Amino acid sequence: MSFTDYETALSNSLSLGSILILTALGLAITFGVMRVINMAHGDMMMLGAYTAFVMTDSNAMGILVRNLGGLLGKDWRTDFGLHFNLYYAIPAAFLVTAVVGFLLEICLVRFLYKRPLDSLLATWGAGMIIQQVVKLLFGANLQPMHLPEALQEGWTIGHLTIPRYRVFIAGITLLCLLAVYLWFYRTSFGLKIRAVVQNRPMASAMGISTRRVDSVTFAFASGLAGVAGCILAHLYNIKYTMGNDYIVDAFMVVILGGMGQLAGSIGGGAIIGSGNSVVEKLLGNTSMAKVVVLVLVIVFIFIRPSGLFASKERTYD
Amino acid sequence: MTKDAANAPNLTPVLPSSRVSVPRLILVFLFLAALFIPGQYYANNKYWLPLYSKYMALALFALSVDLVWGYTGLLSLGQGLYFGLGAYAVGYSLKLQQAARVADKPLLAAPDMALPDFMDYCRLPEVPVWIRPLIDIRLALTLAILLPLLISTLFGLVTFRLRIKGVFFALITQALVLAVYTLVVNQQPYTGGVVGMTYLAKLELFGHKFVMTDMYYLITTILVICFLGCALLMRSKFGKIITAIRDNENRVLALGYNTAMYKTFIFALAGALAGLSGALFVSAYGTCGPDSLGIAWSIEAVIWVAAGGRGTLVGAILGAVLVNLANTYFNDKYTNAWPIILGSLFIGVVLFLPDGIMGGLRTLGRLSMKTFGRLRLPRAGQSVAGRKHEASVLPDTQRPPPAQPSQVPNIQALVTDPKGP
Repeated sequence: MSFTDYETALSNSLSLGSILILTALGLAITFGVMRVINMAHGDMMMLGAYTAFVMTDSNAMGILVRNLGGLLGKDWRTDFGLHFNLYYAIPAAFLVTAVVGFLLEICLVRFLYKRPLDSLLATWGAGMIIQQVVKLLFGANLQPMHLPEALQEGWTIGHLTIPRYRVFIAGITLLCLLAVYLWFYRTSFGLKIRAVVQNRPMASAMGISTRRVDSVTFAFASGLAGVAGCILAHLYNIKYTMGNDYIVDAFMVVILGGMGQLAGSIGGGAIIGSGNSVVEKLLGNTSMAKVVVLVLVIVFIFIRPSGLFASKERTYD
Repeated sequence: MTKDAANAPNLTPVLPSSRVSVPRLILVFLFLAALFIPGQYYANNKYWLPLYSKYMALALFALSVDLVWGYTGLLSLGQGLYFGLGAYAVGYSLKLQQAARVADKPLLAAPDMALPDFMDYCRLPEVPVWIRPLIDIRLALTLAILLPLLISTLFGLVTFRLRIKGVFFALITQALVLAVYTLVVNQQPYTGGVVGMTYLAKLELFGHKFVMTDMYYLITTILVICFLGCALLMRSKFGKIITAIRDNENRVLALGYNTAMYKTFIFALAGALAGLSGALFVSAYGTCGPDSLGIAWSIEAVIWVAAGGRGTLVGAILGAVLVNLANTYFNDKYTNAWPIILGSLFIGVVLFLPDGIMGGLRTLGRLSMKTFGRLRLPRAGQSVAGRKHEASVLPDTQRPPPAQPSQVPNIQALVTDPKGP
């Protein structure tokens, strides 16, 4: 492994780590804090990616309308298409997935807060439905995405070229982290979330609408997944099954980092992301790198079940 | 606290009753006998009979999931790993036999044995040493059970002694199965990659070739034997401790039981069953692919059990057969609708029918008892003179705890209490 290999691995881990952190950040809120397993989180990413597709690609509307017409047995066509760039697609992806997440919470997850294992099964089912609907609306093909020109080039430092888009991803991740931090620890709503998480009946007795807190928090976490998907879409292609590739990794990040710790997920994401890139360079094989990293993470969880940054709590389980 | 208790899921622990009621026994035997009907009914149907053989193998897999999840409360999203190990062990054997037949070579492990087609495509010079002996189907079948048994024992020992359970257990088993899936898909020369192994030879045991009806009866007989074994086990004291662990592990621990060993045992048993079902599935299906190692497969197996009724063996079989029957039917007619139907099944079962079909039947039975049987039955606590409290007469909830002193003092009374102290 030469010096440049290390540098490429470093640059790869920057983007991969950022995406994992961003994906896991939403999960760290739903899984780590609210203790509900949202297996549809990966599909929220996929929805974000497809929102970006509709926003940026002028053909997307045509495909959507034609497939919708096909389902209803009508011959619909349109030349209309949105042609915004990535910067508008990110907030749009956030909004769309947040709305879907909100609906998912009030229709389904709300009833399953005390049954985490059942929430896992039910959200997996919800994820299947979302995937199939997207497949029906947009087709099963891979859809390529195009970056804005300003982000296509790279910066050259010495003999190393860092693609601008990877730096942009890291920037967006930092921005989201900052937003989550401020929201959680500097706003009155964040205070309410923490109160509900610590002691639900007491928070409710103090006049906090725990239902509203739950659904808004869940919607926000889903929105974060949408942003992650939107960014990921521009790094690779998009497909309706793309969420499945990340969901297990994201859960591993949250467990590795330690439940209930937002900081832990950042550490976990950075470790798994950079671990993946380094092992990939060492072995020269992406899939094998994934296998090695997954096994290492499982072994680590065996050794330290509470994760990297364990929050001290005493519970009667 | 009261509000919590009211909101708690309506999952009343279903204990195996200490006495076997005769009507129930008859019903179970009728059910088991009914499993053999398709073998007669579709005897010459080349479409449905192999499909039913497949469903029976999957029903065995559902039994394995039910032991771990329904009875012990451990949601394993990695049972597919053990299923896949069994499947690949037999898959290799049948593939090597097929290759040997085509090349007209003896069915023996040798350096110059015939190369299966997928190895040939990948330019493998010869069959790898570790695959060679698998050409003997007896060895392959033994390995299909022993290998999952060994791995699940080791995995269980580590996880349960570390007291990893609940959500963590589910996610770790899922990560493990994903790692193995990625590995198998990636090692195409040795495993056949995404496609796996196709065009397998027919299963031949003790000089008898198992096809069509023979195959169906073989699989169903094994399923029934495993069912009876599991039923006996779950009615024994061991089964009670296992259900007690599901309902409140801390109390069982406090009573002095080494719960980790109990859980390891049941996990290992379920692993072996899953391996066996994988082996049977491949011999019935004729193809061995990595799908069974995917994440989706293991979760779907859980939903078969959930739909049939978790914690009941009949429910596991019923759920597996019905859901897979629906899968075949809808995939045939409305291919695009099936994922939506299956997804709705996940949601519907969890929200509205947490005890599955069997739970629904039980509620119906109880309701009809209340409506029609009131005149005949003695009310709770009011025993009719000269008549003992028969387990069969009283509904589950009203049955008094068994009076005979056992080594488990009052464990039934302890575990029926849904909440902590």
